[in-house]
Amino acid sequence: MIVEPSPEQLALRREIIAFARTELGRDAAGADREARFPREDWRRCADFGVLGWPVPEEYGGRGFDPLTTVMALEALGYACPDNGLVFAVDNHLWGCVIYLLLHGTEEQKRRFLPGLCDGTLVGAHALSEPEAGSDVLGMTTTAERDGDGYRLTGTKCFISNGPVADVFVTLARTGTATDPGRQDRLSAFLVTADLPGVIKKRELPKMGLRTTPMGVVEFDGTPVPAANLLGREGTGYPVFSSTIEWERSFMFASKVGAMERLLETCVRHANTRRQFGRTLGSHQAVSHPIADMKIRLDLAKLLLYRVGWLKREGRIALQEATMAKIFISEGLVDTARAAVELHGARGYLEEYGIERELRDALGGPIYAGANAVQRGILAELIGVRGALSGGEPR
Amino acid sequence: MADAPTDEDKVLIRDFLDGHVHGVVVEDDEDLFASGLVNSLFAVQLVMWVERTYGLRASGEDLDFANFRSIDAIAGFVARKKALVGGDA
Repeated sequence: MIVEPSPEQLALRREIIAFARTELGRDAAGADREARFPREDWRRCADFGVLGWPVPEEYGGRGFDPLTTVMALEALGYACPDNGLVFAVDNHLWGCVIYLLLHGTEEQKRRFLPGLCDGTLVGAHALSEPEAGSDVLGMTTTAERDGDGYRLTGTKCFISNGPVADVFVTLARTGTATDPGRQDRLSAFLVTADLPGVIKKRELPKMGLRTTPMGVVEFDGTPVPAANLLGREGTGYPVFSSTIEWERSFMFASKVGAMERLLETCVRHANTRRQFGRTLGSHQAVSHPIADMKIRLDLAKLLLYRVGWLKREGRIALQEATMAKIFISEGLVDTARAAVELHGARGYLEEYGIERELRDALGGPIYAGANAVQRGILAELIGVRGALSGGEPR
Repeated sequence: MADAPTDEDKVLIRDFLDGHVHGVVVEDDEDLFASGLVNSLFAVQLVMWVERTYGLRASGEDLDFANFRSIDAIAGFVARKKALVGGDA
């Protein structure tokens, strides 16, 4: 399967690049230094339609199909110099909006999607807990039946967009907890930040993607109406597992764009910087890493577009999404590290922004499912009996 | 009935399942998840196996544990998917 962008998709790409270059990240370095969420840029993204790209027009979105959506995000990642802003958009779309699109009731879609598309609501995915990161089934947050609704109690941490979020998609344990590992004891909920007992406890400073605020959110007996249940009670894990392939792949579309931006930056530098009487690029020690960047970029695109195509066809793509997540996240780290080395002192200095690209890239192999776990999942999907399925025969 | 499970389907399903339960005897109506014999990845693996074995296309909506809870449920799922494409996929 080979996917080439259509003329319409190429025109869209040009439109997005022009928008992002002129409207976004004007003070990306300053915002990064201060770890400041760029609220004005968020508004510009909303006005341009970014926050509703995959959402049908009837709910206030642009109605892009999945393949067009990944191409649009790739263009955004390519042209927007603020990777943290793009990461905030990604968390909004693939940690929150997608759950509504796939599992929301008609009423939930009409209640939340217009605000999520027009930027008045910021979405987040409140999944991880202090003692349950990759081990989703080990989470301890509870949702106890309380009249017509539920009462949520627990702490969620490492929540991207958490400090500024208005809507959280979260998972909690419903029913009795006699067997904490039981997959049908989890349920998915929409929790709005204005509900009693939702406490945004603290922001978590981090190495990269600093313009995406990250924090801890506590649910202290939060009353959640039954109308905010996503899917049926007890279907939280299937809801999560059928949605996670979108997060694992679509969230990395923008990283492919960043890989291309870094490649172009390195080509320019290699052709203009002179040492020993000739351009840097004439040294194989410089040109070969750039060639490797191009190989990684093209392979990353192929993996990404394949997932976009599969999702456009309504197909399951967990295996393909897992491969894309691993390859793109690690490919971007390799490309960013090579870019720092290629730029020498300029790569290491803050003022050129190359070091920021590396700091922003380093989180990719960790978030949206640590790559070590992803490799385990991929191995099991292709038949290896590993730790996730109990390992040794009983 | 076009969407009734066949004995041949059940044999194929048991063969596939054997690779996951290592010889444990499983009744047709036994809850695979409740007994801890399989995990959540099993659902995806099973859907991929159904696609390969029967040449069918599966969607995210198919990843409902209700489709994979028991051998009977899996056989019903396979039969419904086959019926959607006209029986002998």
